[in-house]
Parts: sequence; C-alpha cells; structure tokens
Amino acid sequence: MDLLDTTAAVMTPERVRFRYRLAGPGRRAVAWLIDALLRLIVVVGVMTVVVLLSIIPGVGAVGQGLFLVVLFISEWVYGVFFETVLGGRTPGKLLLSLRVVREDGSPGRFTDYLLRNLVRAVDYLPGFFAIGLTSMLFDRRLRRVGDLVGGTVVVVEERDSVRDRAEIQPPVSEEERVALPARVDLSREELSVIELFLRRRKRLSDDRAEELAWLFGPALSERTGVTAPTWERVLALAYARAVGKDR
Amino acid sequence: MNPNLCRVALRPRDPFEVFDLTFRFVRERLRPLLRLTAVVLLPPALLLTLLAWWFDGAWWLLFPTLAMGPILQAPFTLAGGRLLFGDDVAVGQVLVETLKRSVGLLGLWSAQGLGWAAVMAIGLASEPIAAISIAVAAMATAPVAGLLTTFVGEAVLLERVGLARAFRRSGRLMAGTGGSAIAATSSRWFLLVWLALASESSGQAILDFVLQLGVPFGSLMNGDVTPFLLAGMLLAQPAAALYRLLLYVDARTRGEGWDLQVSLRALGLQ
Repeated sequence: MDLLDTTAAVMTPERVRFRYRLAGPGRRAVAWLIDALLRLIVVVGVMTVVVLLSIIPGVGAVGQGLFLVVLFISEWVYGVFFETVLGGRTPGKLLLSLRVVREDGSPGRFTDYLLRNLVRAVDYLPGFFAIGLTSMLFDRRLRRVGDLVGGTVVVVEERDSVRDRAEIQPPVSEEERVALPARVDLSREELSVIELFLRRRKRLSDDRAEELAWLFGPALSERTGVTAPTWERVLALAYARAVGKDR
Repeated sequence: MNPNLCRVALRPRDPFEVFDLTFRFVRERLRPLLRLTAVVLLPPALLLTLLAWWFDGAWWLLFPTLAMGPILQAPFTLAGGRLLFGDDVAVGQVLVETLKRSVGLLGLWSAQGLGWAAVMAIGLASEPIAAISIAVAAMATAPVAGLLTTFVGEAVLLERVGLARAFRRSGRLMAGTGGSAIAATSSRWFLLVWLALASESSGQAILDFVLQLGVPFGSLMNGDVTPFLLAGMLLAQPAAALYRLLLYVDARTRGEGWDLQVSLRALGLQ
C-alpha cells in the first residue's frame, strides 16, 4: 500500500526507479511572490526613468513606449528567460530550492518553459489564480494548467542537511564496553532507524524515548546479547558497538 | 490515534510541505469530504445567501460568517482524523461524534463568538471607517489569540481530553513547533481572504461574462458582500481545518516521534 505523500516516482529507460519531492502551491506561491517583487522593482525603476524623461521635450512618448516594453517583458519573458538560463529556475525558485523539470525527471527545454509560461495567463483566470489552484488540487503531481501543457513538473531540490548528530549520551563507559558482545551485526535499515532515534532523542521526553525504544529493544537484546538497565540504552549500546563508537 | 496504521507518510515536514500535502490529502479523500461539505456548509451558505439578498449585501454579514468558522471546522477535523487511517467516513457518524465531543469546546466557541459579536456591535454603532478599523484591529489580534489555542480543537476532538488539558496539550505541541503554530494561525486568515476573493471573482465571471446576467448580487468592488464572497469564506473553513490537522500530525511526529514509532515497531516485528 502506497502511503500518501508529496513525492512522485519516475522509472527511467534503464529501469531505475527514483522519487522526487513535488512542489505544490505552498512553496510555489512564495517563489511567485519573490519573483513578483523583483519584477515590481524593475517596473518601478523604469517608471521613475520614464517620469524623468518626460521632462525633456519630445522624449516623453519614447519613455512611455519603453515603459510598456518593460511591462511586457516582465510579464511574458521574465519566466522563460530565467528558467532557460538558470536551468528551470527563476530567482524566486532558486531561493526556495525549486526547479522545473520534465515529467520524466529530465531537464526542461526552452519549448517546455515557453509553453508553461505562456499558459500561465489561463491559470490566473478568472482571478486570484483560481484555475491554477483547482488544477493543482486535482492533479496527482500538483501541476497547474501551464505545467500540464508544457509537460513539466516543479520539484523540490533535496538539500537535507543533518543538523543533529547521532550522539550517545552518556558516552559508553568502560564497564559497559567490556560487557558488550565482541560483535554486533545490524542491518542497514536497523542502523538508519536507530541513528534517526539517537538524532531526535533530544526532542523526546525520557518516558516517550523509553516507550519508543521498547518497541525494538527486547528483540534486539535477545538477538545480539546486548543488555542494559533501559531499552533506550540497549539501542544506543548496540549501535555504538556496530559502528565502532564505543571507544 | 495509532500512527502505525496511518495512511499518510510520516516524517517531519515544513509548513509549506504540509500545505502541499493537504492538497494531495483532499484529492485522495475527495468524495467523503465533498459529502461532508454538502451537509455541513450548504445550509449556512443558503441562509447567508438569503440574508445577503434581504439586507442588500450589508457588510456586517461578514461577522456571523467569521463567528461560525470554528464550529464549521470541527466536523472536518474529526473526519480528517478518521481519513488519515481509512478511505471513507460516514457523514452521519461524523456529525454525531462531533456533537458529542464538541461539548468540551463550547466554552471556547462561546468566548470567540462573543468576541466577534462585540466587534460587530461596536462596528454597527460607529461610522464605516471606524468599523473597518475595528475589523482590522480584530484581524490583527486574532492571530495572537489563535496562537494560544492552535491545537486545542484537535486535542478535544481527536484525543478526547477536557478543555483544560487540551490547552496544556496544545501549548506543549506548540513549544516544539512554533513554526507550525504560526503557519496554522496565519493560514486560516490567508485561506479565508484568498478563497473569498477567488470565489467572488469566479462567481462574478460566471454570472456576468458566461451567463450574461450582469451583477444581480452587487459586487465587492462596489462595497457589497455577495453570496460568492460568503461562500468562499465558508469554503475556507474545511481547508483551514484539514491543513491544521496535518500540522497537528506533523507536530506530533516531531514531538512524539510518530515516524520513529512506526519504524521501530516494524523492526521489532521482523
């Protein structure tokens, strides 16, 4: 049974299956706001120049023309230009770690970016991005109409960093080290789950941590021969021996 | 709630990702949610439409709509809680359960309702400018009040605890995930404003441009409160309730290690 998540799976021609995290309206709205702000700054800047130019006789009309060209560019060219130059990212998307890719996960092309940006006008209709949001609500990959037409999907670039270290507190004492079995074999899955438990330990209350450790501690203790006063310590000691952190 | 049976992938998420997950959740559980929406939101929507027509789109209609919000959210919180573990819920059962469990929330709702009534009374007695100022002040202070009571509803409805204990639970969950609490409170207002405006523009576009009927209910642009605006405000209630429910799940995943519980249990059973 597939659990409900914000990820999508892709099967490559080489039959390699990978998953990527989809960007939905939450992140995309913030990226859009950043881009809108940048565009506004440019437009206001040009408008100021136009006002200054209008003082010079005969140049006023040129200034107005320039303003309209900039307005057109900011609305219709901004997205296509930056997504083509920055590999599927506008400045807003760059800050939010978002990227436009093709449905199969491969990098987007100019025509893809052009289509999705042209059709954005439809997503805005009839106001307040109503069609775009409705499309995202009904699409499994959270795509707006522009994405459906362009064959693209917006993904979140995984940049997860490990902020909390897997600490064993208190450190393994000499007495505990001597009592540990010479060798403790843990599967990769077991190691990663215990490591996650140790990393998140600080955020859990003592009672809750022991309650969680009890779910796996007895089975682990029976299999490996690691014993300790608490199940939480059993997990920590088994992990320490398995990865050599007991010294 | 038994996280081992949860049909939503459990892992710590940021509030934006939870918002995206809400979209997926609604899409996957659309039928039961639509049934509940029809039963819970249609009667107040019809009543408000009638009132909007009767009182020529008077602006004070916004206040009863806002005051109804927490009450309308309760069945969606409960149904959402059930839909985390299954594909379907019976609407009747959800409503009965909501009635039973929301007794604990009556005090909180009464206080909120009285607050809105007071704001409305002061607003009605004053000039429109003063009324708008009061509304803005209320909207500015409501998030602070909202922060203090973020997950109280979830604690009462889903954990079946009393109001006093629910406040403590909410405070404890908020302590570990301040970002979620802020997101839950601000999103309620964001969704309310956005859905109201989107509904207003969509409704007017259909009536005026597609059906060529003009603006029989008036228009927000002319200062009228239209049925479309009120319908959008009503639709924001289930959206806000489901988003807050998933933030609550996220808060418990972070604070109580729900994802760890699922993984460690699976290892223990191997």
